[in-house]
Amino acid sequence: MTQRGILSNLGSISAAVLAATCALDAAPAHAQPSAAARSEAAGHFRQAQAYFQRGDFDRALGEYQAAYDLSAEPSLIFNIALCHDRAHRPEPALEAFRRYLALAPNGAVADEARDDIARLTPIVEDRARAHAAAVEHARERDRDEVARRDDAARRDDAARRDEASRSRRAQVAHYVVAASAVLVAAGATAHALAWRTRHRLEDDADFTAYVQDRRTFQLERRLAIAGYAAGAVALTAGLLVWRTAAGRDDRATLSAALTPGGATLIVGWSR
Amino acid sequence: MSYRLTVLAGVTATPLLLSTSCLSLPSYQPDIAVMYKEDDSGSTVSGSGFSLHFAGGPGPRFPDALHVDGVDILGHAPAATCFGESEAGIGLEPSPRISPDSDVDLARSDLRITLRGPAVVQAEVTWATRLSCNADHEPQGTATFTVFPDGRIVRHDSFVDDASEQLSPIACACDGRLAWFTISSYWSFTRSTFSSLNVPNQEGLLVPDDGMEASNLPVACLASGNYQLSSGWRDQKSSTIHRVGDLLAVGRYGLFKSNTLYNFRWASSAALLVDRSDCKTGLIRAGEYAAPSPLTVTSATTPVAQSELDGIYGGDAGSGAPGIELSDMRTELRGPVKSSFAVWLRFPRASEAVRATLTSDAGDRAAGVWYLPQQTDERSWILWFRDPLLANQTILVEPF
Repeated sequence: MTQRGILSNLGSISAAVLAATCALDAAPAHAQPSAAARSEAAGHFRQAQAYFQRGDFDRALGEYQAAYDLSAEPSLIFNIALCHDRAHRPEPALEAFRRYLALAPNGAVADEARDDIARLTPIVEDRARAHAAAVEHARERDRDEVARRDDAARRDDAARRDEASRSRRAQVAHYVVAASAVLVAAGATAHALAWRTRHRLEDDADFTAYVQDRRTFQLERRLAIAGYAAGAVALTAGLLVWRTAAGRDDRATLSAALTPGGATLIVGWSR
Repeated sequence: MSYRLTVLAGVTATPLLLSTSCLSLPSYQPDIAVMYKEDDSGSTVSGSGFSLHFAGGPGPRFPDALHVDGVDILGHAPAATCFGESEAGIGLEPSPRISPDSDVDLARSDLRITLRGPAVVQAEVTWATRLSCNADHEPQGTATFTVFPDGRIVRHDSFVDDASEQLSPIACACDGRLAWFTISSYWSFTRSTFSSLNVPNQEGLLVPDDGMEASNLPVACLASGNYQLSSGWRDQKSSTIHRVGDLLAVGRYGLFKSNTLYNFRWASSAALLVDRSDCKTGLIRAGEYAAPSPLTVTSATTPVAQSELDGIYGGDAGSGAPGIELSDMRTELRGPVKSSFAVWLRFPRASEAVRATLTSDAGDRAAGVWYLPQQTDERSWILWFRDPLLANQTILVEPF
């Protein structure tokens, strides 16, 4: 609002107050409100004027509105518009000025209303655009926030799943390593038994006893080798699973080859 | 990555390798057995109280030592004539002998072990020589030595010369003297080792004097202080025990009376037996080779005869396909057989192991290691029996 506008508005206020006062006191022949209503409206008007003079525009607006409700005097709409304008509410002010012009296009302050409309229209449009931009920005911000929250939730969920998976893998690794220890122990036991049987074999003089001990020895030896081999595979697999569960992000790849002689095993992993 | 693989492979393979290497299957090694072993100087076949050493190196691979109770009783005559007997080998008089200590010119020499114990070890010596008097003549032969745990050594020689050009012995005499062609398969022993010569019904004969011989003997026994050395001949013709200086030569000799050498084939089989009881027992054992007792093998579908070539019932009869074919997986052996013996059985199906059970009308039971089995292929087994098989005894052989 420019300095000239304020002065002009002050002038407009005087004109409007004057117009309203005259209108309320004049009591036109076709007016519908009763005398009591007009009297009451005049009371509200005066009270509104007092508030307006003190700069209490919201209360003045309420009194003007009450007076208008009782009197239907269009100039009161103009005064309501002024209250909004003074209270820095350009949108309702503009709407009220336009309403005044619609009700009294040739009213006493019609030109003032037009000037104010011309002044307020770009302001309101700018504010509308700014508001729309702000709303859009807020919406975008909301969308970003939602996306961020969704992403965070997804990350949290993935982290929880990954942690659960690591936990499961670590547990599996423990079981497998424990199983490998059992297998190796079983192989060692069979190895010891085979070793004992082997000593007996060396002393067997009777061929029947030798053959029976040989069968026992071969079974124990197979069990020993199988125990060691299975234990080694399980131990390696368990360590690899444990390694991946520990977060190295390796993907284990196992390959094994047992030759007829019983003894080649290759285990590895790759990224 | 390769480092990881290497470490992991090592870590995982080590226990397997250790397990495999530490748990090798020991072979059957009974106290009574015959075994084969190679060493730097050749190869040794050893049994109960004796060992037969085959020469190594590029020369003839015939035996160069026979130890009995740790003493080498084989004759060594480095100063002998070029065709004179020494150690063990083949005589091609008047050309150089084929023996480990000769200077013979060899075209081929090899030793191959075809059976490796514990019941039987069989060594096959192959040789081929060039005659200095005629390069077209290349006599060659094979000597098969089949050795059993109790000191029975069966030797079979076969040799041939396909060249048709007739040779004069004068041109071929390695010592330049007039001679006749004589071929022989011989063992030589230290003369001083033996105190007497024993033949059936004539015990305690004197060992032949120098230049003398005892000929055409199917069996004979040379007695020493602690042991006896017997010999048996399936074909006794031309078999001799004769003294040459400090050596006793035991062999079979063939004389070419036409006095020329051409296109000939010759074979000789003999058994040499080491005993530690008396010559009576030795002669019985030698007799079991010279004239084997009949052995009955139930379910046999092929003839049961003791092979002249290897001294095994059902052994190689010259066809190269030994083994008595059986129609059943169980078979019974019945004698009587008067000494230890071996039988080569070929079962209708493969078996992992076989066992023998002795039954007797008198309730006799075998004691100790009285038999030794030896697998030769998945269906075939040689079983050596330590004791004679009496008339009232039966041996059941079956897989288990």
